[in-house]
Amino acid sequence: MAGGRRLARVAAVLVAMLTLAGCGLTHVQDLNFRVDKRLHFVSPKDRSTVHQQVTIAWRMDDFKVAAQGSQPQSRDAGYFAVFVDRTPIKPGHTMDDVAKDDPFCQRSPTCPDSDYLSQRNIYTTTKTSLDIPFIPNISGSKEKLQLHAITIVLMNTSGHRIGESAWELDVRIRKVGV
Amino acid sequence: MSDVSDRLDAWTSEEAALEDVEQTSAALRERARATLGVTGDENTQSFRSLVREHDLSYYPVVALGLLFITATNQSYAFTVLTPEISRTLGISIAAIAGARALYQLAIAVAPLPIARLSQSRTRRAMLCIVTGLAWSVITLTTGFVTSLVGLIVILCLDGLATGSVVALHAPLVVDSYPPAARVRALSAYTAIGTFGQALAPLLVAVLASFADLTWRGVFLALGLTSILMTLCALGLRDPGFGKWDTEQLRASVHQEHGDADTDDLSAKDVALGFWEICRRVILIPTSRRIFAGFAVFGILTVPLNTFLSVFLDQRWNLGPGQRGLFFAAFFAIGVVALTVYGSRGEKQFRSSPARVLRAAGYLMGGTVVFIALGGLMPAFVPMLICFGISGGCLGLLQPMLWISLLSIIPSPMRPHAQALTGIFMAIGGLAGALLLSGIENQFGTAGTMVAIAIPGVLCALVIASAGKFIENDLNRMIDEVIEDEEIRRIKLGGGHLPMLACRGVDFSYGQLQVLFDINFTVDDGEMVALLGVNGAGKSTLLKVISGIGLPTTGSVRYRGQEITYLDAERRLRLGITQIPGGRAVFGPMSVIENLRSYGYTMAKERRSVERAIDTCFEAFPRLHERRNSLASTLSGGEQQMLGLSKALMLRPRLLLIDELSLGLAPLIVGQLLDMVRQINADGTAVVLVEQSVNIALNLVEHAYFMEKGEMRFDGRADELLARDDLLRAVFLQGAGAAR
Repeated sequence: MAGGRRLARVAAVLVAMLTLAGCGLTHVQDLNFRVDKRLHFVSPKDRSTVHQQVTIAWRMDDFKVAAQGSQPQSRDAGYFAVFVDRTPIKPGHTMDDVAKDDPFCQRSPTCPDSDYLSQRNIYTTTKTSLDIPFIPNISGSKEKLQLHAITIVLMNTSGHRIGESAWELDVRIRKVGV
Repeated sequence: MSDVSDRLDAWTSEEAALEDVEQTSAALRERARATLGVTGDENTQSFRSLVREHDLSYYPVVALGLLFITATNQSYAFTVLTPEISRTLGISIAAIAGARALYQLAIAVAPLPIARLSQSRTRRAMLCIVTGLAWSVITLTTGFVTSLVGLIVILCLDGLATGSVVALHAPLVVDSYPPAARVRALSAYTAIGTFGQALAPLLVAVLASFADLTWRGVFLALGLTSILMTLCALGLRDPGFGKWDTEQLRASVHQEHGDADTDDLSAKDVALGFWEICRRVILIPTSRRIFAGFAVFGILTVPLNTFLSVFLDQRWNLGPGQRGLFFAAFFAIGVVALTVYGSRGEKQFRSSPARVLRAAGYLMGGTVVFIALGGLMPAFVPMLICFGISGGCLGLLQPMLWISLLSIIPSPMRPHAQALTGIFMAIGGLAGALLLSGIENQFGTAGTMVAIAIPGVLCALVIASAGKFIENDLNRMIDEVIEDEEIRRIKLGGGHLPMLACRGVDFSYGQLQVLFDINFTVDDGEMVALLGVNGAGKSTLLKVISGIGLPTTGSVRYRGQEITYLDAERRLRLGITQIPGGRAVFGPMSVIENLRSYGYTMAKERRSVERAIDTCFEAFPRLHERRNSLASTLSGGEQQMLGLSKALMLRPRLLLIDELSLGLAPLIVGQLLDMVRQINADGTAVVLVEQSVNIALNLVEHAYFMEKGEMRFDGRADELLARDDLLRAVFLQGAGAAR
């Protein structure tokens, strides 16, 4: 009987932890269970070998492109943020996350601006194409032909990431300096 | 004189009882090997006819296989979907990899507590179902995770639940089928699990590509599927420990003597604890080598898959879908190999278990060599062929190592052995990750494929070498079970057995063997002398009896129960006390503190400890005079008095005294020996280890003589005195003191 009670207690703790870890912390309607197919990459082809400077182009459906601050905040309007070889910011967060460990940037009211972001391989745009001037080597990698990940997420007009949607394009680029 | 004669008669009848045990063991061994599926021939019945003959079903192997599949699906989905999870949640891949490392740690650790849960009660099936439901719900909940903390909690819980696969599945399969069908049952179970590994990439690809589900949707779908498959396993029942092997061996002992079957006697006092079982399993030579095999198996399965994935990506530009197909094919070849191997493996095992291990060694070698070749191939198709062959070899390794390991371990200890394999696989996985990372930095991913061959081939040799030990270990297990049951039978029949019986004890310090096939018995209330020159192994034998040292082979029985692998402190509670040689006291503590420490060892009440101390002071007034002095300042004789006080306080059933007279004046020795006589007269059996033959033989009627780790004499003390060939090397001294 004592063993049964102990098992029941362990089970209760497990259920509580699961609840805390999972659905208890979020709104189910914000979670994507189906693939968001509104964005399609036009060029280059996934996993193709390209040269610097890299130009990427995409097509976007059911989303109104609008610059930051140009209109009221909405899930269906905003601009694009492109992350090269970087993890995107969390859903609902702003680009301030990129500079959260940089005290110099935090002291400046305009930081992080586009220059600051591009130095960190992050680009924002209201167009459906982007010229990436230079993609640096992947640190620590000795591969001559390196695979780079380009990720696009949606930002609303108040500068927050919209939902969980993210689209990735992989391209191969010969290592610089080889 | 009649007292002496009675004792010698009793001693002779006890020896006869022990000889009876040994004869029964020898007579039953061949039959027992056949019961365990080792017949020496290759004649096997079909699996179907065995299932029909014993009125069994395929359900246990299928149900456990389904649970195995659900466990692998979740793990594979995580591996494939990590980039997507990273993008969605904005969590770096390094952070997710860290969470995965914790998951692997949980998987490595969890089998141990799960083995503990199943140790005293046969609830393995229930644990399998409960943990299966747990990880199914966890898989489903993974689809709702929104933070790194949540991910870590989910993965750790999942890893803890998945521990049951490692600890319980293979022992449950083994106990569900008779030995003649076990290799095929294990192969079938592994084949179903490997089929799941082949299916997982396809399932994830279908859910993600055709059903347009995100990683959240995939985990939801997998969780629901997993719950359904776990529900299919609800009918799983625990067949009981050793239904087809150890219990059959026990029954054969009674059949041999024409007895009716008896109920199992309770042996809770000497039932091994969790860590004692783990230690016992590790002491088996074959187990140690197989664990080494599992460590390399961990390198092959845990980090190599990751590096293989990177290799396919970078060297052959295969995308996630193509890599998924590659792994599906890799595991599918394993399924085919297992299907073909089942009956072949059964024949190998029936013929000789050593053949299975040798074959496993060759396969391990083949696996790593073909992985290395695959890494070097300049063209795609030869690369595929090389990895295909290695996949086939790899698929067979697990059931081969399982059957070899589980067949030499008594049923209740199998979950512990399996849990240890999990630990060794995790150690291998960790070492492999570090090794392969370093090699990848130096030589690229192709280099990692080649580098794995070096430890792999070494490990193949270690596994193959285990073949030399498995026959002995199988016989040892048979002897242990038969001896245990035979002694129970003799006790039930009113037969008398010695209080202490060491049979066939070998002991080694590392690689140096110091005891060889030692037989040693002591009866209730008897005083025996254990004689021999320095280095003969007398003190080592005392260590084996008191539990400070564990034998490599042989058994130690105390009051009819096996205590060979029991912890020293538990033996103390059962009434075995040792007074070590030399100064057996705590030097920095006072006399009274030393005496209290003896009392607290037995967790006695303060008042009874104080009473026992008073008794010691009555016996040794000199100690009372020096009660507040540090023990280190006492003379040699006083220190021995203090050591002997331990026996007065603890009142053991068996007292082991090592070199009581060493370096003491004859007068002091005389006083101490008087006390030993008194302790013995009060009913405590005494084993007196001495170098001084005259001292010992004036005290005892029964003597043993050891030389170079072997027992050279066992008989009456006066007969030993007539053996000049044995005693020539021993100093004949101290006779005066004894008199």
